[in-house]
Amino acid sequence: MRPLRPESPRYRRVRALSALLLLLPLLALVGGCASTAYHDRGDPLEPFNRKMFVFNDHLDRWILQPVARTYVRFTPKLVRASVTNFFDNVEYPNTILNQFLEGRFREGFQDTGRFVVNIVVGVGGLFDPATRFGLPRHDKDLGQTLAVWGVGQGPYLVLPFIGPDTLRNLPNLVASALTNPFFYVNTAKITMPLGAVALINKRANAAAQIEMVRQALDPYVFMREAYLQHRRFLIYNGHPPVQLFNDFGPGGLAPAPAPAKRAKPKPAGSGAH
Amino acid sequence: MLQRTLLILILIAPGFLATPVLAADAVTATGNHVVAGPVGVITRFQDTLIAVMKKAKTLGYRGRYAQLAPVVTATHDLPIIAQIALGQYWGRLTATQRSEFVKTFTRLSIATYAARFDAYGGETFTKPTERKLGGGDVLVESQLRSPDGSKVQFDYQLRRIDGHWRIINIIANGVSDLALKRAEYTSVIRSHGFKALVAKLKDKIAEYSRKGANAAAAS
Repeated sequence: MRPLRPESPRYRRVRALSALLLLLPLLALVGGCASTAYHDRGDPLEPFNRKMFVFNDHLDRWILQPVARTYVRFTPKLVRASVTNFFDNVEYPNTILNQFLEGRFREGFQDTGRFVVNIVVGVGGLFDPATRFGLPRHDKDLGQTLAVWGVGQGPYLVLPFIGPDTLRNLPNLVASALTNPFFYVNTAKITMPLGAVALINKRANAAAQIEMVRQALDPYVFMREAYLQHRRFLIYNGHPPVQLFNDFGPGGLAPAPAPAKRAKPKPAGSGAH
Repeated sequence: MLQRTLLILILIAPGFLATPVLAADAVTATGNHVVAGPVGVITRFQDTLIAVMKKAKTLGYRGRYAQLAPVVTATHDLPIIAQIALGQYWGRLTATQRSEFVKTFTRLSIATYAARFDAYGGETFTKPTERKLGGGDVLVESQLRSPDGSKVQFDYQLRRIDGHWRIINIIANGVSDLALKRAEYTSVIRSHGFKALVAKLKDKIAEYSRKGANAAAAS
């Protein structure tokens, strides 16, 4: 074993890993007091989040969106599909790791098979033959694993440059980096342009969804609800319990109305919740 | 003899028990009306969407709106959706405000479909299946599949009101349309009031209609 030099890439990795390990107990602590249903606590960081939402929105309008549009204009559809396949596969070890962490061994082995098949048969991941062989793509990350382990969601966050997130999901920023093979390529000349292409391609693929957010009555609220619901969908492997809407009582994030001076509060409908 | 009678009873009884359930699920004709079960409602709705998408360009926005309007209003319970979407604020509206809101909301719902389903790229819906939810509601599940292999899970929540099964919510890949609307609408009412919400919805309708007219002029 070589001693760790502070500036060595290996030191960087070990530091990142230990940061992750330090974060885990912290999250468990948060989980103890944070409610899984964020509706109970609302969106405590909304003022900060809204500022970050506007910041990201400007950043996107001024830089990412025009670049992504140019990319779409000059790149054939098939090439873009291969770029998407390639980066999906590069990021796939994170899904594999978290299948195992969730105890889904069958899916873990299937996803390992998918990763290998797409590298070997799919020319380094440019194509996705695995889906046709009955190994469909899954979407797993450390945030979902922590949810399955019983960690509470914590507050909703909008992070600059990153976008919607939750406290529980933060360790995944580290985990997704550590499980990405390119993290271990220490040549900025390779990783920087690849990272840029990955980002632009992701933005291009999300164009329709981003447009939907922008068309919403309140884009911030729309994004928050859609994000949190989709996370729930992933945590439950595509089969979350259905919200019934059986009562017409208070719902969403609307707080109870301030009691009007003259009106007497009506008794709440039976079986609210 | 007794044994035979018992056997027949056992064979027939489950059939008896099952009959009303089957009748409720299948498409049954009562008099002149055809009452569709949950799967029938969804099939009708999805078939209409695909048909409209296939003819999207020739129909134009107005044509799509006209074709979708009767089917959307028949397959969706728009007054109930409107009511749930306003959450606690519904109870504080006057009768006039309520009917104005339902009217605007109905037009917006049709306009949104007409605006979004404006092209066909070979998409198909898988055969819908249904399962029961609590409180008498039914969930019908189907997938929208694109030729590129991508798929979106569509779950429709249906409720039986006045003998008709109608959609009260659509959940796409876990994102519930009704929950989104309720969060958005109540947020707008809370910060800007009910009038502002209705004005915003009307702006949306006008925007869809304007963009639709522009698209027709461009092609």
